[in-house]
Amino acid sequence: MNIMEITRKKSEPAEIIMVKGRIDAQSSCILDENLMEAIESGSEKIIINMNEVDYISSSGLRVMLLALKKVRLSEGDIKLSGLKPFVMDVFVVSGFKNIFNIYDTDNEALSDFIK
Amino acid sequence: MSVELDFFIELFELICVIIVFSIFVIHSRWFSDAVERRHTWKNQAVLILFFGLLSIYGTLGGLSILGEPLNVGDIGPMAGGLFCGPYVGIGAGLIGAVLISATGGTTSLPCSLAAVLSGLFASMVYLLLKNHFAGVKIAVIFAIAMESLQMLIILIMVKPPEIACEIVSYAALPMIIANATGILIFSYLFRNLLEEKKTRNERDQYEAEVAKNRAELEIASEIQTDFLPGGIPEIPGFSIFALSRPAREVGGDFYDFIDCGGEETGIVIADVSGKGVPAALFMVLSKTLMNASAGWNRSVKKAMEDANNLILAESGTGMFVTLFYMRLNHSSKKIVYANGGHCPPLYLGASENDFLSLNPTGMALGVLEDNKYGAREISTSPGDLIVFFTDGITESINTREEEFGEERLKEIIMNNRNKKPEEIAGLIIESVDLHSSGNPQFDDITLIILKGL
Repeated sequence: MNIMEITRKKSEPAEIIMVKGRIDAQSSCILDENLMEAIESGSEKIIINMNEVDYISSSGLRVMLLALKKVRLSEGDIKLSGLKPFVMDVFVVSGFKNIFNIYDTDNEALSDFIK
Repeated sequence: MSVELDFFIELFELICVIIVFSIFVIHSRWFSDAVERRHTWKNQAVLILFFGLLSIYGTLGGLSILGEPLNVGDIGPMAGGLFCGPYVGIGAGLIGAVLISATGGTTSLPCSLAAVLSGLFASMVYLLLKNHFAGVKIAVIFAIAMESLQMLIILIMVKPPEIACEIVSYAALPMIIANATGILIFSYLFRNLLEEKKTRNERDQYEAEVAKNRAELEIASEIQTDFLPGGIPEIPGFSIFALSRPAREVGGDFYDFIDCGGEETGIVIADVSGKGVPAALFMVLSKTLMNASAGWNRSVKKAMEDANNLILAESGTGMFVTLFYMRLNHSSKKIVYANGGHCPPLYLGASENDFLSLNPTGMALGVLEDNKYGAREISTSPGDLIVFFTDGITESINTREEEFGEERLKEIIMNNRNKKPEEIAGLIIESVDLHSSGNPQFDDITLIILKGL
């Protein structure tokens, strides 16, 4: 099982979190830590780049949902970009497609933040 | 120099015997009690005797130079004092001193004095260190200092000074080296004993903890299994089979059959986000709330909406549940269902060769407040099959990380559509297990198969 990798970068006005690998029950806590850290350090506008995510389980959805609830309290948002077809299916079936704003690229997500 | 070497070798032989003796002492119950500072009259007496004997052996087995006994008799009182406290140190010192003075000779007085002082000073070190023990370094330095002190006492007390000088010049080096080596080995053994004991305690504690957790999880697992429907209900005109197998002791999948009164039965299959204990706790909550909501709402849509709001109110941690709920009418054979973000059950009509997916009609439960759910209706015929499952089946992976997938599931159902529900379920589980053999079960697996008769 490949371990998930996360890199973060600032791209004003948002913070981009790049995730690589599988977001499952084991690895979702790493994403959780990174999201919470970003939010606590003041980032309310977050883009999760999922270009290289092959799989997401319900544990992964949970940490994203929790983070989304947090940032929306302060008018922030978590936008997702670059979902592979399988990952997109998970968002469609679970209904999470309707609560997250999903884009093809980081730039599209970013320009929506700037609007 | 060869005389000194001979002395040293012979003294060293003595030490070897003392080491064997020490191993027995160190591993005795009296010694471990004393080390843990549980001093009783009995263990103190036994230890005084032990270290006293050690002193006697070190003295009697000693050699003589110019008619004077040279020995390792101080190891007993030093070791006793350093590691067992004042009573043992001083007690053993006194026993040694009495014996040395009985042997006579010009150095007997200074040597007995040295034995008592060794025990006394060792005891002081023991008391000064309070709850710690002298390490190997301190013990060796202490032994060197004590033997040097003994030489000094000989120089002062033995007359005439020329003899004293001669004795000291022969005896100093071998005595210091031999006693220091003896203490080095004793304290080294002692340190090992402490570490061994510490490791053993930690391991015991860890094992006890693990055993306790396992026992608790087993109980939790039993409670959770009891929480699933005890049996499969009789539904006139239908045959049904259900099973649920958590990946760990407890899991987040569940199914439920609800008696809706009259001629209707509710069927629920659901998957809580995450795994293990957190998922299990949320599963209990979700199942209870859904069961209640399905009981008081005739409308499938309304039952989902109420359950969603109730579950959301308890979901501070972002937990949610994908849930499929269906009401089955026994006489009209009609089903009404709502799907809250759950992987679509597969419907295979008796006269059809394609599956119909019972797709989501709304979001997973526990995510959005006042979320609306759609409900759909299907008329069933005899021979129709509905296979409800959780993603633990389709997403089980083999060693090459390939998923079992929906296609494989459909193939098994299609090829065995004339069999009974429990037979089809058995074949599916067998196939999933075969696919994922070599990998531990990754996710909870739940399966319900309903067939029109």
